[in-house]
Amino acid sequence: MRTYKVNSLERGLAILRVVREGDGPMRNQEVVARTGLPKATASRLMHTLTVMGYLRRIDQGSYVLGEASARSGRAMLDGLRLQRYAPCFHDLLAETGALACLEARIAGSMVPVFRWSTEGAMLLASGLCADTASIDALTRVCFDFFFGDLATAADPAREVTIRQLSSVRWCHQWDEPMGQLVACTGVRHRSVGCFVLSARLPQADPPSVERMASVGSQLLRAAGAISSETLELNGGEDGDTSA
Amino acid sequence: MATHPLETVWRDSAPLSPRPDLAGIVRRVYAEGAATRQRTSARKTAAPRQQPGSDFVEALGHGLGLLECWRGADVWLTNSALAERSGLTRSTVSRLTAVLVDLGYLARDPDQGNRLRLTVSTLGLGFGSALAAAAVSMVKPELAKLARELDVYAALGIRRDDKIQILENVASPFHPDAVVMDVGGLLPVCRSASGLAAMSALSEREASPLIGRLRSHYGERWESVQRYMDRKRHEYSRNGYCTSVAILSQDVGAIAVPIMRARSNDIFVLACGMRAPDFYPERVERTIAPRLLNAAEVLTAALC
Repeated sequence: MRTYKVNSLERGLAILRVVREGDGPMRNQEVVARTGLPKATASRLMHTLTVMGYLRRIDQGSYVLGEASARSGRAMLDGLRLQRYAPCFHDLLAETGALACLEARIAGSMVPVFRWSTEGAMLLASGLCADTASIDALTRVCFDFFFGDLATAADPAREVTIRQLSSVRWCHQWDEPMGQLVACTGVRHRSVGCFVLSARLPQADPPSVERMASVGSQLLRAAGAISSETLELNGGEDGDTSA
Repeated sequence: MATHPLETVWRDSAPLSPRPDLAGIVRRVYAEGAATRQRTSARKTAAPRQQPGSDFVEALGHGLGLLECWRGADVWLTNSALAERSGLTRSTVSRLTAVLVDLGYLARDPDQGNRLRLTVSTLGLGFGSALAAAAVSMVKPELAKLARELDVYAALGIRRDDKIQILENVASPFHPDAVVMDVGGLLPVCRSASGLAAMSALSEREASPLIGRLRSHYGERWESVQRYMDRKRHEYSRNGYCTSVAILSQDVGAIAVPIMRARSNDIFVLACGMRAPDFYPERVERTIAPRLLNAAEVLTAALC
């Protein structure tokens, strides 16, 4: 039950989400239409968001997201201190071109937010990754399997993934033309929330059974470490030193 | 008739014992009271970011201010730490954090002494959006300088997969309609100077999956697109910039320089556009390119 209610805060955050979902310049009227707020209220809230740097008013009177809007998300990811999990991916990412991503569901699509690779660990502040689009479907099914609902229409391609997830808790797809093996699993952090951990590995030939077993076990181990922050428990406050 | 200076007139007309200036006293008391009130309130509330009496909604401002309290390696914060950092009263903080927990932006853990932590929902406020990727407001003065000095349309864009999205732009004050591409606008990566500059700056590893997708997108036309891209890559390695004339739009010529940020895979692009007849090699090489490369250096420092 809600004890307190602060309408303007709730509405202001809703406006930000709407602009984020639009992912482009949005006019005042459009925000009003999508949030259902009265026009005067919406413009007062948008003015506040603009003053605080969460929105930016561009020449034509439309609004786009401002830099401050990404700040709390970045602080949340900084708090997870994801770079310290690099040792978990040591074997998985031994080959050049291999990378692992932590992906979150933002505005309805899966967005990679952090990346580990041989070149080092990196926060992906503008959501860009080598080839997100091609595996979006796989990570989306994985997210829905662990944290959402799979009640929507059956799709034969999805059935295979769901079968894999139900039996071994991770799923994979071998993309022959790209020479790439993609594997992913869910990460549920008790306080922070849900993510998908994915790995993209160069794989020119069909993966062997041993290869699959090794990829799966490493992926699940890394997901377990991130979800329980176990490195921190073992290494105390200086968990970073092990990374 | 003798003339009196103005102050003498006033002195002469004033009675010997001046009446107390009641209106002045009221004004002074009010002003002093306001100063005291402000001092007192400054202790209790966050510093106002906007003049009072405006359209600023305080509760929203305070709530967002709380979300900004997590810095550096902060993980769990108590209500009192939040009160200290935000400058809000304890009761305001506990009211606002209750709402933020309720809305799912904060998590409270009894095992952590009821301390608070940001959740994955905070990502939905703007993280991962290319438009929020950098402090672009700092960039506008530099773009305005370019636009005025060179009589060009100047823009900063960012690569988003196979497109370049315009983050900020300034039209030429002399030819405002020469190029029309607003904030949020998208340019194709292999058919615009900006896109070609970004492609040339991509590492081999990042470029190869992108090229794979472009190949399937362009189908039969791919060979000619690829030849064009190779030519532009050579231009980039020779000069440090890419140009394109009448490719995307018949009457526009453009030149672009990529800007890379340390510890990030973001590629920004600084570009100038003008009418195709104004885009002749001599002007581009002698005047525009050196100025653009210089501006790119300034912006690299601003964006990093």
